[in-house]
Amino acid sequence: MRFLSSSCNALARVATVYLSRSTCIFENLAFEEWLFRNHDLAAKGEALLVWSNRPTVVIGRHQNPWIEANVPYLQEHGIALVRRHSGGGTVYHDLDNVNFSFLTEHARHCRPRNLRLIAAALNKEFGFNLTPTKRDDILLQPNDRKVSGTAARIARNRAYHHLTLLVNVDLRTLSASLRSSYLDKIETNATRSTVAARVGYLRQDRKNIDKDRVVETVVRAFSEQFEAVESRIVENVLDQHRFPGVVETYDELRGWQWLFGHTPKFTASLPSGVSVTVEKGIITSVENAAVESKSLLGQRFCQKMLAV
Amino acid sequence: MLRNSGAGLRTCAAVMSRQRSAVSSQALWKPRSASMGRCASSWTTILGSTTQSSSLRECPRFDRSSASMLHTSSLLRDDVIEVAGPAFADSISEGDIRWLKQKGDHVKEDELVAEIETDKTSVEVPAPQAGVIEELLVADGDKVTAKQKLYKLRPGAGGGASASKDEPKKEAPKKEEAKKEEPKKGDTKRGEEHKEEPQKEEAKKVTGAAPPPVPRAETLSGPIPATAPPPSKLPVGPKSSKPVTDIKVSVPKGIPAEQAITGARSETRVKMNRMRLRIAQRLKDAQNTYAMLTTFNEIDMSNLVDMRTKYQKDFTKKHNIKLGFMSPFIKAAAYALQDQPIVNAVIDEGEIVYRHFVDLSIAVATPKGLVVPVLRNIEAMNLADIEQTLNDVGEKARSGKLAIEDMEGGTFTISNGGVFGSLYGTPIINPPQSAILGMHAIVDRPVAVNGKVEIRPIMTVALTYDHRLIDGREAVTFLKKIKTSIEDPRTMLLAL
Repeated sequence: MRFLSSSCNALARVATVYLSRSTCIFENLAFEEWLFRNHDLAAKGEALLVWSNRPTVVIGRHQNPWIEANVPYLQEHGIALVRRHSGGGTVYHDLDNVNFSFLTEHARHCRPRNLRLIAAALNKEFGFNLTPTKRDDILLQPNDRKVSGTAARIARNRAYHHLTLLVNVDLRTLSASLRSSYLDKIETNATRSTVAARVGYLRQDRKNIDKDRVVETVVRAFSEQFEAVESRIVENVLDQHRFPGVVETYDELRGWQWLFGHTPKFTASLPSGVSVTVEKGIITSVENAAVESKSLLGQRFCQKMLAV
Repeated sequence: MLRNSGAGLRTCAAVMSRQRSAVSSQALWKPRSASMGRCASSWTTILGSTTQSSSLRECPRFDRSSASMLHTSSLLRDDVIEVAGPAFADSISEGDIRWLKQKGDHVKEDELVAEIETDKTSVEVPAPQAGVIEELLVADGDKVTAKQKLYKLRPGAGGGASASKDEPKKEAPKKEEAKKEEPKKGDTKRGEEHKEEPQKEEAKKVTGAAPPPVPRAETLSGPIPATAPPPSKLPVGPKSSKPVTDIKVSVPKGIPAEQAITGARSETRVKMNRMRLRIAQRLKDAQNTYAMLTTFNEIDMSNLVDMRTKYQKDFTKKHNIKLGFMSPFIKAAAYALQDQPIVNAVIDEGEIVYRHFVDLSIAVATPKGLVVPVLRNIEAMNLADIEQTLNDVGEKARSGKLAIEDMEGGTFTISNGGVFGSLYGTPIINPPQSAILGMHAIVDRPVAVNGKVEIRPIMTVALTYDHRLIDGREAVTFLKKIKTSIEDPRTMLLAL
């Protein structure tokens, strides 16, 4: 099958849809990153990746995990914590909710267009009242309930826009996961999430909706923009033969170095009155300390230090 | 879900003819071939910005022709360029900059120097060329606007990675290198360089500028002098004398003061610690006792690498630890020892002591020095057990919790020099044993496979053995068995 180059705008445009069967956030992010770097936009056109994960909190590239999520709560409940490559704020994922990643050339990157596509398709099919906002959120009306958040990443020639979409979620788990108890203990210029006034999910308005129907609707609407769309179900996203290098990204995402070591510099006030400066996840200076606390220097920062 | 590519082709042709008439002075269009696929790629120059503006008016696009020139940079003197950030995709005007590299860091072309966060997007700022970051013009977290100048880069490949900081004396040779590697720089720059510093003879040859025209003979020599010219004064001292102590040598980080080479004409004596003394003693004893010889072989690691890739996920999931490289070697060594038990034996005062178990000593480098803990009875272990034991022992070793008992009584040793990059080497036997296996670095090499050349990951292994006890044939067979067990683990199952 030969596809035409997508740079011929007025000609046949093609796209590829990838449906990931993995429910592991690390695997999916590693695969998304692989597609971002390696998907052949010229030959295969734009890509849409559809993925879902087991419960997890995803923080943005330049965020501080200790103030964006409730780290002890996540550990207690077996919810994963991961730092993604794109910027923006923190989101909660779980199996009843779906994520879409739109991968295009830099010139064709347009988040409002993608959001309008999704909102229009779901509104038409199920009768929702979904409205994208200027901040690239999608709100479910009435009452401005946020059901989707967006982030994007732009490189020299390529860009991706990915977003979450809440179909059915336990709002208590969501807010408990995202509410940190250390907001007043940590000072930093890391990116802060904008907390939504209200959060909702699609099933609030349509009891019979489920994730698969949502995915089907969105993928169909996406495909209608193109002359030819190839759909691929990826069973094993960590296949090093088909996707060389994906395992390295997976390993990197799982490591302490990426998740905590990439936290922008911050200062934390510990319960004992000691104040520490943390750079790259390691304590680099200690103030107001008695002599014993000097042993903190050079240690990896962890939330146990903040606990009373 | 493939539909309707035929319709696409027809529309294609129609557009082609329309565009042809529209194009005036832009790139001349020559159809490369009749086939659609190849045709398409040569159209990008024509269809650049002309067709795009019709759709998606809400999304201001940035000009495709500038896509390849994301980095506007202005040339300053001294080869340093100021690098500006890329254009932002939408009409967002500013973002926060996050530095991924620091001043003084060396970067390769296209390596990420920073990222700019604009609300929800993260825009990459790759380096336009390889070089060293001279100065950051904005601080981490500052707001920057599109195409604002972000940092200064001194282009230059390779050599800049050395640990020394920029010093005035070092600039001259550095610039020579930069000039040699980037002959594309204009002549004017060379002219500036000449004026700025006193050049050595070398520099003039390097630039390759046209030599000045040879002046004619009449203008050079005057009339023949009547008397001899006065003898030149003998030099009193060196032209420039700088005492050795004034030259500052920069010491790389992490070197203790007593060891560092600073250029000072003095020595520091440090007493050997007990551990080092003991190690020295034992090594010398071994050398004096054993008739040590080393035999080498090479192992094609591709099957092992494949096995790891294929099963790593399942292994980690089931056993909660990663499958490393050491455990297959340990298993192979145990298997080979069972086949050649003489390698597991030792000479003791005129008797050969054959041991009916395999206790493997693994050499581990700790900050305090080399320690060699022992894994007991590994002849019955499978790879998962071996990994678990290795893990436990490694942890103990690194946290200094190894007991003396843990380090005694091994029957064979494996030492891995490869982690430090060693290619070949002759390990020393660890008494009271009779042999030691040394693993070295894995290097991609071209090898002959079925009459064709392929690139395979190859590891050299070395077996040092006591020739008083083990003959050449046994040693070589033993090593060969390790090789075949790693290259094809099925041979272990088939007891081959």
